[in-house]
Amino acid sequence: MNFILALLSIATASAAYISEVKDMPEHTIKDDFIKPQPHEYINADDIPAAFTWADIDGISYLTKSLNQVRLDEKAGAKQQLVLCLTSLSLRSSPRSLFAAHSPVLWFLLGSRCSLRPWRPHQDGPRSLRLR
Amino acid sequence: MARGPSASVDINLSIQYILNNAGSMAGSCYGGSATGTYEYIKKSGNVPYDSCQPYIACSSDSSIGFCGSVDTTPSAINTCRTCSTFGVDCSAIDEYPNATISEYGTVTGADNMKSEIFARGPIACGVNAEVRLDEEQSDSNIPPINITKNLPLLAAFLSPSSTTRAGSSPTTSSPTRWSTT
Repeated sequence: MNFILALLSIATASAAYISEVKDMPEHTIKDDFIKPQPHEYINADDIPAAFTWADIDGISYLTKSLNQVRLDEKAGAKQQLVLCLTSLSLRSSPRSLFAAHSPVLWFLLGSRCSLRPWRPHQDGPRSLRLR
Repeated sequence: MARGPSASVDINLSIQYILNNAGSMAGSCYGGSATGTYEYIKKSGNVPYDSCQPYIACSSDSSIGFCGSVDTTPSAINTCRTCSTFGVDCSAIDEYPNATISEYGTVTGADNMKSEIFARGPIACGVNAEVRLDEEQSDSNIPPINITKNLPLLAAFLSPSSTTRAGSSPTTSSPTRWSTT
């Protein structure tokens, strides 16, 4: 199975990179969950080779995509790329597709990664919707 | 984004709310973390929809563009506001559509990440791409990379629990699109 991600677009005018991977001082809890994680109950062999929330029987369950290019920032930190993984197989894409530059705000991912909730009574069992 | 016939309305969460209020836990325009953002949302109770606080790409540590002249510090009006008309100050509203988080955490490894995406939806990833940036400086035709092998990677998942309205009155019509399972 492919789990290849094309290099994300980077449009930088400066070589002075500043890491934007930061744990802020008040951030102390990185894991806060009690339910079993999917990898505990899904056999890796059962994961489909291709799957994307952007196209499940022609329906996208993703919210809007954001392009975070700060045009007025001539120099500065472009070191961290952020992305929302919504597919199991991502191949070469237009460089602009994943352009996600400074201001790199991780929360963008939370927003980018929003998903329309699954409604079993309307949408049916998820497994049946996979091709 | 194009939506299918059975897809419900988008739920877009307020990035600016995080920038205004969560700088010391989630981060700012100059960096942060996904789990820090999730921790803040869970501890603070909710995150408003972005109709409360549209994204202006400013945090209190930024003076780029107009950022130096806007107030992006924690406050009620910087959580959810309404602006009725020209010439009248905007005001805070204390009951607003929002989303909550029931669980969040980190996930590592390609198979584990795939399982998470497949079973519960998209995950957030941050990549420290300094190495790739250095390479791109000298080569504009960099081949695709195996993200799980070539780059330091942090991935995080979250489980939305519900969308409600904050505030004291539970009587307003509140969409409950995310149900706890």
